[in-house]
Amino acid sequence: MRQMVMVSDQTINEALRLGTSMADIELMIPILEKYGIANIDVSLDYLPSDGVPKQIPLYPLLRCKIYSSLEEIAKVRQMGFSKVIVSWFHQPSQSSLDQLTDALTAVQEFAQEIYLCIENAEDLSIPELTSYWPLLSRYRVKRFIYQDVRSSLEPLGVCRKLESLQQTIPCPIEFHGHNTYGLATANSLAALRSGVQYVAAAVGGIGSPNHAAMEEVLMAVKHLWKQDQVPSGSSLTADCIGILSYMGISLPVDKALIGRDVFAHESGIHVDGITKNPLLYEVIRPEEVGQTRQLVIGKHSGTASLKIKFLQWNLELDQAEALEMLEKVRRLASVQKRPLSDLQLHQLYWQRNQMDQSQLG
Amino acid sequence: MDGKMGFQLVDTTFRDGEQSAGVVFSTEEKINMAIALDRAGVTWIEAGTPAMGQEEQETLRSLLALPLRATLIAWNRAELADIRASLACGFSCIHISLPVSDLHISQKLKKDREWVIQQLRTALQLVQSYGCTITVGAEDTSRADSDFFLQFADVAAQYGATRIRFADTVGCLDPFMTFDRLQDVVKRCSLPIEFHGHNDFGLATANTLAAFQAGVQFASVTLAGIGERAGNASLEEVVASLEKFYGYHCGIEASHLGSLADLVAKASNRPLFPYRPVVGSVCRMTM
Repeated sequence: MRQMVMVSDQTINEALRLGTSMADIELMIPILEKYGIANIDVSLDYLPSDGVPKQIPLYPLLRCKIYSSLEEIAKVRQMGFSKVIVSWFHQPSQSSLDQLTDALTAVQEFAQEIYLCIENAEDLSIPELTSYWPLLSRYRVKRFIYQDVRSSLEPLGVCRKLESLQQTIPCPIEFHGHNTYGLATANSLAALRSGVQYVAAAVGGIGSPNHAAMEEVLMAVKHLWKQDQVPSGSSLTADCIGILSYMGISLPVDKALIGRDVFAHESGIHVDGITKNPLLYEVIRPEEVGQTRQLVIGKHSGTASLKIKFLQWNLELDQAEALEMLEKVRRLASVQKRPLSDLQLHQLYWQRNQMDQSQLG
Repeated sequence: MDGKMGFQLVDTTFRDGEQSAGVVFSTEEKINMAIALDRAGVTWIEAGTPAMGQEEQETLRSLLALPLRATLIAWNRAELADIRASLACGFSCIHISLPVSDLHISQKLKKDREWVIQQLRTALQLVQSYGCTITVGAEDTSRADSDFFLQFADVAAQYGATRIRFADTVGCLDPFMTFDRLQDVVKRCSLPIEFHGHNDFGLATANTLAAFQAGVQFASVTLAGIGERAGNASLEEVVASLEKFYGYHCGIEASHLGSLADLVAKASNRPLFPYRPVVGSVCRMTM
């Protein structure tokens, strides 16, 4: 059985980068907490100069990410952070790790939890990575963060590499992938499959560089891998939209799981299928992510869709009526380059009905 | 078997892409996108469904009249009337689609596997008699019995089909499942396989790469991943990933990816998400 998935949040860090107010960030954190967030990572560079107010609820979840300069370490200490990520970019020419060990020594003086992140871990060979292992034990590093900052890995490679590393590493690994090529969700799943428990993710996959989408990772684990421990998604869509709205970000309508139109059906074949059994064309019920199914009437509709749509208003169309109306629907949708509104459908119906009446008269 | 040799992409922006709820492309937009796809090096374009009616057929005729190097494909249900509409438009490459999962066969079609095979035979006989290039789609393969998929492919091969589409219709695969399933069927299939992924869990690109690694020879994609529900595998992500991870150039110029995505964003009235891989404003690659 696979382990529980724990998310290190990257959403708040993007909010800080975009200049979202601390008051709004305070409102975002409790929503994120519903999804089993283990940590909230913040970069020192993006923090206000006076740090983060300590009264922020869930302050204990915050981890501050710094590089190895003593000046940064002093700042983080002064701000009162007790969880610190020391981030390191491995240079092949580096002969000494003195700067890193000095940083870890300084952080150890005040931090309760130390994390070591190698940003370009994917560039390193296994022996190169293993050379960092003694530091993990010496400084009681809580987790080693394997970051793929340049999105250089694909899922099969992630799984293979992380499985191998876990055989020798003295502490748990955390995977921090990026989404330059659209593979971050898959790479995070690959990390989980390898036995890693902690992965970085952000709502909607935001970030600079972008990340795995939190909602995709959680729901893939819940529904594709049938892991019941993952939190319920029954308010996932509203929560994600709410969080992003504090940053002024709106989602694309086809964003997997939480986009406005991902449970909207227009094409005749699909609507016919959905009516017979929604599972024919939906991998999960919309309610699983707090959405509702929509029936859209437009260019790709069929007669079955029209009959179903009108039946919702207790208006029964026979096949001939549906065919006649379908032609008008398709023409109108093509002209206006969008689906028909309910009002337009009503107008088409009543226009036709009035014509019938006048012909009778 | 290694899929790296001769792996090709089939763009279905005009068919599966336009089928996304609320999207309508004008004839002019389709012409502009077809020319841009062709210039970028796309060799297969699934152009649409002639059975949709006269207006669609006129658009498709305009596309067929363009001096493109790419082959235009007409999508059809396995219905003789649909196929005749495609032939009347002038298509010489015909795609026939039927579901292969028991769920779809029993609950959507209210038929059985024997009926599906017979329907395929009848449809292919007609297409074959016109000397067309044939491709066959197996809807909902990811939830189907692999042996029935292979039997279906055998029948398609008997009638001269050139490839069979393995459709993950509802996007229920992850890359590991994709790799295992495809590696198995690639070895046993009488036809080259085209993987057709959907993005319901954000995994369409990764699944397409897994299928490539498993040895498939074709994959369906759309511009900006536009398509039913959460969309399809995106052409830009697949092209960029093939080059990045496997050093494989599939014939499509990476330098065209941004402008192609811009075209579909405008035509679909769906602005690109700034954080969208490869082509979003925060993440746009310079190639």
